[in-house]
Amino acid sequence: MTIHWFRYLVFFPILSNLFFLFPLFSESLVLIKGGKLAPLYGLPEGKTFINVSDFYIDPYPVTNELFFEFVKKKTDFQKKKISKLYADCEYLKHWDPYPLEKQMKSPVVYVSWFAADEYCRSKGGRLPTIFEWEYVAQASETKKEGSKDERFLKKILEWYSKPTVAEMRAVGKEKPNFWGIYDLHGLIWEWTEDFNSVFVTSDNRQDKDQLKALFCGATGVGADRLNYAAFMRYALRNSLRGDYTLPNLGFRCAYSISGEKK
Amino acid sequence: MMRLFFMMLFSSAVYAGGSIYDIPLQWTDENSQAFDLKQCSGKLTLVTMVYTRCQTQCPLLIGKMKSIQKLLKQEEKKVEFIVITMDPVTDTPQKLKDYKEWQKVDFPNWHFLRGDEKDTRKISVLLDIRYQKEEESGHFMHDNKVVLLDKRGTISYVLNGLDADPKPLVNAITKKKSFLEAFRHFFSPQE
Repeated sequence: MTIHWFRYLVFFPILSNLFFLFPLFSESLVLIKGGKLAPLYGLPEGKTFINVSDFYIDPYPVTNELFFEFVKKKTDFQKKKISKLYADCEYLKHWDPYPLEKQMKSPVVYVSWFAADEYCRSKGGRLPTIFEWEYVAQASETKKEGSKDERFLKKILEWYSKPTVAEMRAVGKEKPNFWGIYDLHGLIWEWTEDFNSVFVTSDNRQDKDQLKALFCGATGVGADRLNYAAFMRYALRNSLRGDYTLPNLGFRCAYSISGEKK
Repeated sequence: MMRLFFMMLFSSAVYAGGSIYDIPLQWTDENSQAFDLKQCSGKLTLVTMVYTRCQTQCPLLIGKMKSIQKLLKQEEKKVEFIVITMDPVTDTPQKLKDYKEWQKVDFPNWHFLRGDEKDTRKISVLLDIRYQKEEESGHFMHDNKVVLLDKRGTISYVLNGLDADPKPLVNAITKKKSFLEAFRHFFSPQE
């Protein structure tokens, strides 16, 4: 019997697709090599960048499926049981009372900072800091530093200008960025560990003029004001409280190099 | 029996809103002893966040707390004063102890607490006190808030800003009992 090896080529598209889908269902983390970031905000006077250390991050936002698995174990974070301190009344509003099959691969939204924080802790990680998130998110599809790339910024702003869709698409459907990270832009906004460190509007140190000289560790605004997309993210973070839940606000986890990676 | 019924009805045990006192966070006080916020349950508690290297705003914040203490009458002094450092990396219990002595607040109802960075961030989110560390100088940009927690551990008043008048907060502590509170107190006088 002659083996017509070339007939096996019919399996090639199937196998290659499986290979493509594999990372979507694995929880493999991506190592982000640290570097310089010129954040929109939070730089001391005279500095133009900060150093971000190496860290790991989830390649995809946390999906409804993964969060559902989490609340099955962590029952005090279930929709009906969560403390009012931890989430407002819209928590997991899109579940009925569980996620529908078609929602499983979509990013979980309507989650509070406390729920996101607890999820990441349960995985041995944490939420990414603002600087870490911005560092990864400044990468375009081809460049580590895309914040000067007008086409890249325009694409982000175009997404920001569109209303939130009623049904989120599945994660991982667009091209990843330089680091291999998916959906940092174009699908959801994301919680960060230190979201409440943003002072876009005058903070209450500036109550009265006579107090201006008393600031401890006053920081200057020394970054690129052209990056309007980053400004919008900072403005959103400034408006949040830990118990807030929004229809387009989800999260992913980060892991420090020393000891937090499971 | 009737008394028991009303005690159950109005006791804090049936309160479902969530208590900051019950959040499982790990704290160490200025004497290196573990401190559980649960021990503040049933008491009024004033909380603020500072760091000891802060030479300008933070002493003013502590001063605000001291002025509140002075305004309280003797019988109302059962208020706990909690000062949490936003700089747990630098502020060891010994540093907090020195700071407490320097501030001349060596009273048993004043507690200077230190947690790990995660728990510190978590309490700041719970209290809505924003802070940001400037890595190079080690200083912090931060809110200047004094938060009043009621006996159940929920936020009942926030003194926001260094120039805010503390009297409304003092009034919130010393206010006459509402009808409901008087009713609860009648059936549950130990509270």
